Order: sequence, then C-alpha cells, then structure tokens
Amino acid sequence: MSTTLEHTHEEHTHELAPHIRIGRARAGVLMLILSDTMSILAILAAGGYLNALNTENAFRASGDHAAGFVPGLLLAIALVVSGLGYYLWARTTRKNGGNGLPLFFILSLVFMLVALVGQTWVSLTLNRDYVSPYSAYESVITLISWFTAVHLLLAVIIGVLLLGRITRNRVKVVGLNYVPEVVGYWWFYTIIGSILLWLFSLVI
Amino acid sequence: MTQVSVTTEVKRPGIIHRLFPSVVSGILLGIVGAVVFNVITNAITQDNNQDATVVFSYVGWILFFFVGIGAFNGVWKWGFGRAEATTAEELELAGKDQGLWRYFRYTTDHKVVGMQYLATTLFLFFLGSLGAFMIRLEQSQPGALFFNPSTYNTIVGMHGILMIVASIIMISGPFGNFVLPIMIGARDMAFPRLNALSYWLIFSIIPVFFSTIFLGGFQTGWTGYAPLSVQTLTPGMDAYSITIIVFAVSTTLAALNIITTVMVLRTRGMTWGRLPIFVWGVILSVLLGLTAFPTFLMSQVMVLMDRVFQTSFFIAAYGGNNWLYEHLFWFMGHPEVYVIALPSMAVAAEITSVFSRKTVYGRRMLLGSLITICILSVVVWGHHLYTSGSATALNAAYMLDTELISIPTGFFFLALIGTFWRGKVWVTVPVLFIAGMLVNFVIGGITGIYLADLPTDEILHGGMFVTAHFHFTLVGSMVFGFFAAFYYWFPKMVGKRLNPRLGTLHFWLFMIGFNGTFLSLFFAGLQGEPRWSANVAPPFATANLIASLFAILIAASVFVTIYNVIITLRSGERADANEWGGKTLEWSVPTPVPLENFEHLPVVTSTPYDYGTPEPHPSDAEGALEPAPLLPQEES
Repeated sequence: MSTTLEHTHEEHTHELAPHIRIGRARAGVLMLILSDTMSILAILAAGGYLNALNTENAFRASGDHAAGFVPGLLLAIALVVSGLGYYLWARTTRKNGGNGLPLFFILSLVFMLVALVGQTWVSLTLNRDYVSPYSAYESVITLISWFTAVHLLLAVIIGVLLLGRITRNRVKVVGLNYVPEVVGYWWFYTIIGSILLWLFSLVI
Repeated sequence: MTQVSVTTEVKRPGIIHRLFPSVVSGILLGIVGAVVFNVITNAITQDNNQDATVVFSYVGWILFFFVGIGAFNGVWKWGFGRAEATTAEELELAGKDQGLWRYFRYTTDHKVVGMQYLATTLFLFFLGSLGAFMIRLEQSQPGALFFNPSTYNTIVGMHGILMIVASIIMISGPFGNFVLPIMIGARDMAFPRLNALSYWLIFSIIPVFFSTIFLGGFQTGWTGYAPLSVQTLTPGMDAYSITIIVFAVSTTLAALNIITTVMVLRTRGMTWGRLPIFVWGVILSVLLGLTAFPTFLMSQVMVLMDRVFQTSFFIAAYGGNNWLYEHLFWFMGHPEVYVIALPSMAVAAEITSVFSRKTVYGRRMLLGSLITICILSVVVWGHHLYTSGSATALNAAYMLDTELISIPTGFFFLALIGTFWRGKVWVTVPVLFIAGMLVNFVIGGITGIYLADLPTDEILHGGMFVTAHFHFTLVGSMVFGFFAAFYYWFPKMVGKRLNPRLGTLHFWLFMIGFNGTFLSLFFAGLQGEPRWSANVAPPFATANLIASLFAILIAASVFVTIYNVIITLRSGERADANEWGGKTLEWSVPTPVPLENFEHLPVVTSTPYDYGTPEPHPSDAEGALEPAPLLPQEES
C-alpha cells in the first residue's frame, strides 16, 4: 500500500518571525491563565455555594477554623516579595538588552520556594486539627490549600527551568528576550491567585 | 519570515533509537511507574486505602509514560540545554524520514497528530458502538437476558463516556489539527510539542478508562453523579475520575493551541473576515471547551478527594451537597453539546458551499448565529436541574434562555438551505451526510424544545424520550457532520479515495438504522419507559424490539465503513490534490502534504467561497441533483 501516511518530504524549514514568536507566547500563556482562572472560580463557587446551602446545618462543625492567619500572612508576604523580585529582574532585563540582575530573580525564586514549603506545611498540618470524615468547610479549606500548593510547585518548576536558561546565558538570545515577560504573566498570576484563595479561606 | 534550506543528512536510526523514546518505551516505563507508585502508596497508607492505591498508581503510569515517550525532553532542553533545538532536531521531532513509525512517537507535525486523533476517534467510536449494540441486545426483550443490572449500568456508562469523549474530539482533533493550520496558511500549530502532548494524554487514559471493567466498573453512568460516585465502593470510579481529569487537561491544551494558532499564525491577507467558516466553528468550540471544562475537572478532583481523603463535598451529613456536583457537571455538560455541535455545523456549511458551488448564504448571519450559540450555551445549564429541586426560582430564566438558542440554530438551517438553493448540487457522500444531518437535527432540535419547557420536562425527564432526543442531536446531527468531514477530507489526509458506493451504502444503512432505532425510542419514551432500567418492562417491549432490530443496520454500517477504509488503504485510487474543487487553502497544497505545508506562504486576497455563478461540475454532466462518482475536480 502507498498512502500519505507513509510519506513525508520537503527539506525546507522556516523560522518564525520574532513578532510571531512573541505573540504566540503571550497568547498561549494568557489562554492558560484564562482556563486556570475558571478552575479557581469553580473552587470559589463551590465554597460559596456549600456555605450558602449549609446542608443539614453541617457546613461548618463547631470548632472548625481556617489555617492559621499568621502563617497565611507570612506566605502572602513571601509571595509579594517574590513578585517584586521578579518584576525588578524582568525590568532590568528589558532595559539592559537581556542582561538583567540575576540576584533579583534568585531572590524571587527563593521566596517562591519558601512559599511552597510553607504552603505544603500548612496543608499537611491541617489534618492535625481536622477529624475525618471532614466537614464541607474543612473539605473546601483542604482543597484550597493543596490547590495553592500545586500552583506554587508549578511556579517553582518554571522558575528552576528559567534559572537554567539564565545560567546558560539564554535569556538574552536575540528573538527570545520575551521569555521574562511571558513567564512573568504566569508568575504574577500565581501570586495573585494564591493570595485571592487565601483571602477567600478567611472570609468563608 | 526567513527560510532556511536544510541539507543535513539524517542518519538511519538504529532499533534502540527508534524504540526509545517511542510509545513502546512510554508503555514500559509507565508500567514501571504504576508499580512503583502502587508499592509506595501501599506502604504509606496504613489503612489499606484501595482508592488511594488506584489513584496514585495511575498517576505513576501517566507521569512515567510521558517520561518514556520523551515528552519532557523538550522541557528539559528549554531550561538546561546549551542552545535552542536545531533545525535538524526539530525536523526529526516532526517525524522527518520516519515513515509509519512517526505515528508511534512523540511527533510534533500537526498532520501526524491529526491522523493520530482520527485513528483514535474511529477506534473509540467502534468500541462505543459495540457498547451500544450490547445495550440494544439486552433491551431487545423484557427481563434480564445477558447482563446483571450492575454490569448493564457499567456498559451504559462506558458507552456514554466513550461516545462523548470521541464526539468532543471527533472534528477538532483530526481535522482541527490536520486541516485547520493549512486552511489559515500556517506551517504548523503554534505549539507543536503541546499538540503532541494533548494527543498522547488521551492515549494514556485509554487503558485507565478500560481498566474500570476490571476494577468493578462504575455504576453512575457517564455523568458520574455524586453522591453515588462517592459512595460506590468499587475503584472503577477512581479510574473514571482520573480519565476525566486527564481528558480535561488534554482538551484545555488542545484548545489553547488551536486558539493561539488562529490568532497568531494566519497568513498574510487571512483576515478574521476571510477565515473559513470551519475555522470559526472550531475556534468557537475550543474556546467554549477552554472555559467550561475546568469546572468538570474540579468536580472530579472533589470526587476523588471525597473517595480518597474522606472529605465531604457531596455528603449531605457533613454539609456537602449533590447539587454542587450537578452544577459543576452541567456547567460543562451543556456547553459540551455545543463543543461538539459548533465544528460539525461549520463543517456542514463548508461542505455545502463546496458542493453547491456557491458562497455560503448569509455568511455573516451564520457566523453571528454560531457566536450567539456559543455565548448562550454557557448560561443554560440549569435546565438540567429542573427536577432536582435546586434553584427553582431560576427555572423561568433557564427556560427562556434555553429556548433562545433555537433562534440562532434556525439561522444555521436558513444558511444551509439558502446555500443549497439554486446551487448546482454535486451529490456526493459528504453531501448525503449533510442532508441526513439536517433532517435529524430538525427532529433533535424540535424535541429539545419540549425538554427545555418545564411543564413538559416534568413529564418527560428521566425517560427514553430524553435518550432519543440527545441521540438525534449528538449522533444523528453531529456525528453525521463528522462523517461528512471524514469523506470530504479523507482524500487529502490519506491520499486515497474512499469507495463512493460503499460510502453511500454506509450512509443509508446508518440513516435508516438510526431513525428506526431512535424514533422507536421516542415512542417508548412517550409511553413512559424510564431511561435507567436494565430490564425492559413488558409495555415497552415492542418499541424496544423494533429499536434493537434497526440497530442491526447501524452495526452493519459500522462494518461497511471499516471495510471501506481497509480496502481504500490497500488498493484505493490515488486522490487528486484538489479532489473536490474546493477554494480553501488545504486544497492548494500537494497530496501528500509536505512537511511544512507550503514552500512559500500564500497571500490571501478574498474569502474562500468565491465560486462566482453556480456552474455544474464536469462530472455532473447529466445535471444537478444526480449522484456523481468521486472523480477528481478540475479547477474552473
């Protein structure tokens, strides 16, 4: 048999123009953020809905509480510092033709890592106070806590990969200098989303 | 746009290089990952938590499968490689000089991914059809014939979810990948690696899904309703939830890739106003999926948390509520109908224009109607909860906006009939399927109005009437649209012509079988037969027997299609580059389509439907409305 399935030919490849690469990266990340935002909204809607229904008057058992306020506040501060570090790095990178100050990025990554470790600790210690089977309130808080931890983990993985590019001088490659900006979208989104979820867990 | 000539000679790879990375190494490593995660989870959980073991074993399978198939190689290189991937490496990743084996690797070429989707879709449809036939077999006579109720429920659930998954990907997957980039004048998708990832994610969950059979099945049906899903003791439910989560991730990645491709990679002159209707249909569909599927994903995360970690999202005794599941599910579930419908409707418009040799009638009106359907579809989910007791105050609002969808849908019919009107219609197999789609869609649409109306829905919900309605909408309408697309683009994708006589036989068997089966079930529904019953009660026996007999014709149509594809691949006639005389860009490139589609990117100067005055096709010498063989189309 002889079909298209068997054949590939043509020996030409074509590079994308820089403005198309930038547009592609921006659009891709923004679409990802749009989709992920829907996940966050689903969690907020679920928590709010269960709270409003208060089925069997059992949404929140007596003694139920959110994760401690102070640990949450400390994590929020760590995230804000991380965001600030990232902003300064991206700004210096943009102004100096790809030669940003890596210290700012390392600071940003370290604080993101601190937030991840802290969030994981918060999530693990939630179970110490809550008793299985968990009430709907405890369920929502647990979901928010682990969802945030997964988001922070993703940001850390992306940060480590970006650090690899920085150490190999691949951020200032001509045509690829949009990377800090586009990664920044996800970085800042992660920070805003995490803080928003934390605030929701306080008011629910 | 720079063009680089590549003269690099690619060495013939050895057997080790061919197998690693490939689907073989992916499966091997995936099995190892599943075993390792299984052992670790068993060691960590002291209370022998079977659900946790199943969930984390599958997580291990999926993670290690992707390590084995090489999905993380590009990610690693992006971060820690010394340089960007070279042209030769990119070409190798795109499957250059790898023959058929490129279909079994993490290949990035959009045409390969499109073919992978097509094969997978047909495979899933085949298995789903087997399930359907088993259902009809069981329901052919009153009483338990072959299956106990639990097995029957699992078969119904598996049939349902298989068909839904296959329907969601049936057009955006194969044709959205293979045809769409060429249609807009692009060389590939915006994110080729992500494209491969979205396909292989679906591949990775096929064994997970079928393992439900060996894990006790799932008795909830395809909707996976809580609290039954949470209370079901068999771990088959865990496999179901994992399947849905990974599928949602896959569709999200595919959606963002397709949207970005259309936004960024359109060739010069391909303005939004000149985009083919098919591209609009796909982009609206995936945009809908991108925003609707995350809630379904989260619903399954909550189900798994309830099952594995004893949370209580859906357990009323601890403050949870089943309505939450229903809202999260149907916020995806209703738009999902339009995720399936929009590209199918767009295919219908595309094909009607080509075979009528006329521009799409009321093109802007049609486009406006597709956009309106897209918007309205996200605010109507509440009609699925009319009888659940949730949010009764909103019933009137849900009733109104559901019925509003009939208006833009009516414009779709108007556009198609207007395009056929006074056109010199070349009646081919794709056109037959479009005609069938129109007839079935009228039945599916009108019966939908009865279900959108609260008073009639109170009587008809939960009955066979609903089953017949959504089969007319999804199968009789949208799957017919898929087959139209299949016969239309198969010559471009495979380079061979499907046998038109067998295609026509396929259509008539399917059309008669389908209508016979589901019109009978409408009758059974009006008699009062409930949907979820393993055993047919005597009052409904005749209608069900007739339905089962007609289902034999559907089964025959499936085998005719398989036979047609096999003989075409073995000894079919070679197809022309522009088989039907179409004006969209995919018909301007050679067959087989070169690796990067175009040697020089085209410049678009008009819409793709400028056929001028309708003229008969040369093969249509006898006049309009006569069946014509699948002959090559001369450019006029």
